[in-house]
Amino acid sequence: MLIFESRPAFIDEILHKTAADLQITETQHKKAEGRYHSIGDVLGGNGSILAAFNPLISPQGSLLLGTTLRPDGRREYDLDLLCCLAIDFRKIQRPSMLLEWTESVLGSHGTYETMVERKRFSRCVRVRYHDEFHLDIVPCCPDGGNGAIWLPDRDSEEWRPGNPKSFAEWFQIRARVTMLEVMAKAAIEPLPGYEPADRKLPLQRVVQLLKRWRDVIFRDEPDAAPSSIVITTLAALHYSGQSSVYDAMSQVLASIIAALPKSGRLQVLNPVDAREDLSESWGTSQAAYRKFATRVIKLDEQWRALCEINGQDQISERIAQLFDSASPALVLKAQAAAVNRMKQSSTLRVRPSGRLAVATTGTILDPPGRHFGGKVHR
Amino acid sequence: MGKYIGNRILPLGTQFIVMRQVWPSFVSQWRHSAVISTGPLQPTDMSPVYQVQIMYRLGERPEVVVVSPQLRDRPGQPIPHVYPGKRLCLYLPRANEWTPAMPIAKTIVPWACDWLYFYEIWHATGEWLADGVHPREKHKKKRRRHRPTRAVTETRRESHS
Repeated sequence: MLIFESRPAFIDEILHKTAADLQITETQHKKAEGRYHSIGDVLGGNGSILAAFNPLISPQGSLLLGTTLRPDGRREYDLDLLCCLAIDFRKIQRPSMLLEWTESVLGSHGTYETMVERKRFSRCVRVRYHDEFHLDIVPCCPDGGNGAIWLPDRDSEEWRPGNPKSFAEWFQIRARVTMLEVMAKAAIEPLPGYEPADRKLPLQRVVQLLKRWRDVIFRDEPDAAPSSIVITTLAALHYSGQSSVYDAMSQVLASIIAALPKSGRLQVLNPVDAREDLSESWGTSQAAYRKFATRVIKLDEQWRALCEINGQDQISERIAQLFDSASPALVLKAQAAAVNRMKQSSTLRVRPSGRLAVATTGTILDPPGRHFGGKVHR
Repeated sequence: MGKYIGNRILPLGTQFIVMRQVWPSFVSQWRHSAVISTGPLQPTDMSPVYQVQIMYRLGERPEVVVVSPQLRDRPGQPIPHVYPGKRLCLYLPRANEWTPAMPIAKTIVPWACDWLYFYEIWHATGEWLADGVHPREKHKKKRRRHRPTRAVTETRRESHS
């Protein structure tokens, strides 16, 4: 079966492509890895005041979960890295000192002194690579074993507990299906010369698409927008193993809406540490919560409509609008080119039902200019 | 519409029979000197079911229209590759890409399905991406018979008198 013979396959291809076009590429990923390892070498190298604490750099956040997304209106990605220092947090006078030490080591290094962002962030030190990405280095101390850490907050001068490793493991378990299962269910014949978008797990795509939807719909009110950790947690909590992106998103949206309380607000607790309310900003801003609730209900309606509207153009335009993306049109163009190739090689037919297909029965679709039954004469 | 001058013309009866055999979902009627076939084409699983009507008079160019759903322009862009009355332009007449020797069922109908596929693509992208040479815009303008200018006419009168 070809991709345009199946609405679910067609929609899924567009969704995969839309998300894939917004995520970090393989090349950029490798570059980022190389760069943060270099930063780790500097932080742990000779002359570094942090060397004694064996700094260990590792990815966290969307880089670790595989849900990176180019921030709205910018070409640069924000990539989060953890820099774990083997020191008892109780021995540090002020939490902000960890950030200051990190800034000091990088700021006095020839390569990084101009790249360290002057603006002081509450929990990270930012290193800028123009036109590519920022690396946000988050220093922390271990809290026992099992990935639990203490993170310094400069603004409040407090230590906050965290466990990004456990969160990532939880997310992976929630992702449920494997890539093998996803690919096996697709069963779509390739179109000649058409390169399908690369596949990620449905839950990863749902997170990327929801983050993008959030960016678009809260574009003029960034302060009211739900945070990425809230979106990621909600998606993973409500996903239940669907192997197509469309079905996964349908399930997540329906389930979130069912969970919206009649009074009060939805609370999104850290699944690996219930003491932490990831959605606490909704507690302080009812307006922001109401906007989220109203808009997610609207998104659900628009999502269900994709199953009912007719026309490749209609479906692709709706998805383009939801995510402010040019990718759906690119998918159509590439598929159209493949259809032309199939016509030229007489592999396309029209079934008696009036459908285009690659089949052994049906009427051959030869382009005009080919003598009926004869050779091409132009 | 244009007429073909040539030796081979499939009889209307043959066109009618082949249409009914190849496209059983089409309703074909043979009235006087024309075969009119109406039926469904749905190029993809995502497409609406288009009701397409083909009207063919012996020896003339088949006329193909989409009865439903209504074909729509894009904002600021009229539908390309249609003749007046939104008759579909499926081939290059002057290159004899279709002649009355060809069965409509095996040419016009699949080309119409192809046209509808690319119509949807055009709607989403603004580009007509079907392969091949297409008639230019001038075929949409009315043909004018050349009329000599007044000055030339008077000169001729003078020369004859």
